[in-house]
Amino acid sequence: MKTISSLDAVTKDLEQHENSKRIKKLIYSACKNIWENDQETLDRFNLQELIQELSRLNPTINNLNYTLSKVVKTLNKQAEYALIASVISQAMHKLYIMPDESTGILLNQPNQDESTGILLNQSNQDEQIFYHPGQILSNYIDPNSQIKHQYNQFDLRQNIMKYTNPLRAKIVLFSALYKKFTFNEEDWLKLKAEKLDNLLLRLFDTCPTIRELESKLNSAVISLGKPDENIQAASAIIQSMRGLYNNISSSDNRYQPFNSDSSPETRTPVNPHQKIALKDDNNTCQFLVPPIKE
Amino acid sequence: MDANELLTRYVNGETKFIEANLNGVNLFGADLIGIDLNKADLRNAILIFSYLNRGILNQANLVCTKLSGANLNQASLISANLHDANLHGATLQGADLRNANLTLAYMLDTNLMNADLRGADLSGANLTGACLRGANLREEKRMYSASLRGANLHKADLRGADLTGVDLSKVNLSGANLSEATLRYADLSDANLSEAILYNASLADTNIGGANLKGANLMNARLERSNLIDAELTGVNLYGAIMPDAKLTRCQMSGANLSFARLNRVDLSRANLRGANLTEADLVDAYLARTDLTGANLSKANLIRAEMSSTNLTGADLRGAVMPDGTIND
Repeated sequence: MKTISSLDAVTKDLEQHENSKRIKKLIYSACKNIWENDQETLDRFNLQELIQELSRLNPTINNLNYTLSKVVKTLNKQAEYALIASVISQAMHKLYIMPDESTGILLNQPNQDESTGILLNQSNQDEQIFYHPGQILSNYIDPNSQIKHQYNQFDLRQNIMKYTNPLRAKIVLFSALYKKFTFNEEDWLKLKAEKLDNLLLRLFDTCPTIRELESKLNSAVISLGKPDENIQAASAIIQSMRGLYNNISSSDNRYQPFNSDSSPETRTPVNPHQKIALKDDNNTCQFLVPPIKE
Repeated sequence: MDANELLTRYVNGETKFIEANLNGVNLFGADLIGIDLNKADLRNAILIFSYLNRGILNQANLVCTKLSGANLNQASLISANLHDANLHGATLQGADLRNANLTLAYMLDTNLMNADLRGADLSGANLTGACLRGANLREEKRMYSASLRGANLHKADLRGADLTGVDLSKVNLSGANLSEATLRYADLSDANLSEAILYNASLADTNIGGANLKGANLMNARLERSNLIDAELTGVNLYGAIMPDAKLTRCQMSGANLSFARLNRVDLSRANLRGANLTEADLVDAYLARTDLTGANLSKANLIRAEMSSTNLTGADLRGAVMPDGTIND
């Protein structure tokens, strides 16, 4: 399954890294669930075996990223160890090749244009992306898998169109991103110049957390006044985009899982089945209660 | 009939308004679910955000009607005239649009999922960002023949759509997603398919001559007997594509990925394949007259009986390749 040669290469990579000590500490902690500062104890463990153990404990690269980020969050030097985690994740990426998968669309490559989640420009990446048919990257999207790893504009657009009115969604998005949509000629022209795709992507880019996204859409709904249909549209957008944030802490996303700038709770993966609930926090969208009573 | 009269009668339980004259009425946001407006005159009417779900609008006159954001899910619009209608962000999921006239219709971000568009005329329509997933545009002899001449389908979602035999020549399909779509016998000549996603698409016997497929993803696509003469395929991904007997004369394919592609009997004469990746490609009986394979990777490719007497192989990697005479390179 995981070839010896690539394991050797990964071990060598990490051993020779300038931060090899920290790397080993973090890998040890991710394996053993305990932080170890004692060098002697650490020396008793072989790095290669630890790497092997870590990859066995984490069957996918996303699991691995999640495990590492969980450890990092418990540390004092989060910023430093976030970088270390990123180094480990990048090196160990090579170990995640699974055999005998049916061939599928490879939607998730570390090097591709992440704004689309689609292979649009592979001319110079073919070598990295396409393996022998028997070896497909583990982050290839299994059609049966419920886990959405990355931004796929076509899936997102389809979901939104299925569960709400596309034009209503655009109006809510427009109001969230720019200014309240007023239904005058000028605003209609502006809206015609915007694709639903672009509005969604811009919102995703603007909001590093699902909370911020909810808050932005909530404000837009309030500003638009007539609530019912707008609330319905905003809810559909949130539901459709929630999945993109669930995996941020565990995917190769632009929002680096190990980014220590944001507060830890914002990186906590959200339960995908969790309903939009009333929360004490004023920043949180409260779609159960219409924001304006008419 | 004016808007108030219609709404009053509808609220009182009347649903049939066949051949009603509603020219220019304002029904913004009106709830008219299931209404029967067969052959009604709705020219220039304002139906923005109206609810016409399951409405019956067969042969209705909807020329220049404002239908942006309207809900026409499962509505019947057979042979309706929607010429120049505004359907921006409207939703027509599962709608029956057979033989409808949608010429010059404005359909930006319109939901046409699973719509029946057989025989519909979409010439010049703007379908940018529209979702046509699972839509049916299939040509049926002497019954339906859809047209998309001059239509704009930039970034449209056509996954799984049936476009058999459809006239798509010169259509803008750049960045569109045609994965799993059926395009057999379709005419895609001179179409713009740059950056399009055609993963697993069925393109057998398709005319793609002169089309622009720069940067397109055709991984595992089926292109048996397709005509790709003079097509622009620079940097295209044809990994694992099945394309025996395809005509690729004079194609620009530099940097293309053709590894594991099945290229038996293809005509690649005068094609430019500089720096292309043909690892383990099957090129049995291929015609490679004056084909430029400078710097191409042909390792482990099968070239049995391929015609290569005038092929340019400068700097090509032929390690493990099976040569035309059956010898294997070291």
